[in-house]
Amino acid sequence: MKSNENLLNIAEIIDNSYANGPGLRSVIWFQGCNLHCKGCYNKDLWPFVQKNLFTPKDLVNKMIQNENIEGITLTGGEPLLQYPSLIKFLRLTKMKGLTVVCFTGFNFNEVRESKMKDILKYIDIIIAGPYIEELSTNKIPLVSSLNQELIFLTEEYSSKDLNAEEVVEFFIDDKEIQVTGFPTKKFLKEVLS
Amino acid sequence: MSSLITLRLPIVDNTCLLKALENCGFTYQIQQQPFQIILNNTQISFSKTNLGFIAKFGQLQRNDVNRIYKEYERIYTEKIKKIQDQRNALQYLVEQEREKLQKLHNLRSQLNQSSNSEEIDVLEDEFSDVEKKRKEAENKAKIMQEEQLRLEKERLEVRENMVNNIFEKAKKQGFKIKKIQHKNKTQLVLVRQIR
Repeated sequence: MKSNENLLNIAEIIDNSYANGPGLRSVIWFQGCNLHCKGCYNKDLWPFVQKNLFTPKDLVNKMIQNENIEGITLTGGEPLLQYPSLIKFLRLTKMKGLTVVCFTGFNFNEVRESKMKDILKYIDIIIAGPYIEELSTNKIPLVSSLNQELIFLTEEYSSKDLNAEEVVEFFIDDKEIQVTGFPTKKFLKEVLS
Repeated sequence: MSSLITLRLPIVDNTCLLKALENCGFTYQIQQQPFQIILNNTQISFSKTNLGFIAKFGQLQRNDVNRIYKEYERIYTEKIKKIQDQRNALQYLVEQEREKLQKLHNLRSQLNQSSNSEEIDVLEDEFSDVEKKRKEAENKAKIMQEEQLRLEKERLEVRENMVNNIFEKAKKQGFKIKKIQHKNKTQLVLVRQIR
């Protein structure tokens, strides 16, 4: 899919999650990633194929329909690859008073020194760095491998807001089970078998 | 990245699954009714209480699994819809026969007053025919309703079993579990202190 500066290509949204940052959050999985980390759980989100397209304004309107959340979490796929429309979306999101947690496979310095650096103004917590399977961990909240950096970019949150807890969430309807959060493969195998 | 893993719930209806396999061009042989089959020389086991379908079909291409599932869902939905349509048609028939009976009732009352025994006899026969048809349609509609309820119950049971299974196993692993019931889905939040 050709990138469109006015649209966001979203694979999935979960409305009420406790497993993806402080408090109750809406989680947005972006479609498309070219980093292809070995052992990635979300390989379905690698291809740059069209999923659900939103204008930044429509996506913000969707987010604020849920009055219970304190913020949103961006993950994927690679959210920052949709930079031009993402920054528009984040500007509107912050105007609505929502906090932002962002996962990216880029290293923090790469982001800070790139043309995407302006996006950092709108993010409260960033978890940056590729997933390295050999360094996999479930001992640090929100961090999947030890090389990743978790940085508080504003004073909105501090380490006190991230409980030293491992959180995994299941959403079960008549057709599917969705699992989100940071489960180990061993745990998933045991629980779902 | 935060994980996003989507798994389909286990197959509810084995007849529909076998039909889906056929439609997708797979050959199969039933090994042990109804839960074990040999599919393209691979032994497959599945049951209503596990996620065996995806797991055991691991030897198949993901695309094939998706294709089979899509076809299964289509056939299963069609089956449910067919039952619902048949039930609706039968209920309509029951209503029509009821109306006819009401008219015949009225007619019989009028004839009773005029003591026309020949016409009353003809009417009694017609009355009994209509009543028979009504009862038949009503019984069939009842059977359809029972089948529909059974399928719905089966589907709910699969979901409930899955929720209970996760709940019990996560508890054993030391997780505290919060269960939140939304309109169409159940959310389980598993929390464990990092050790």
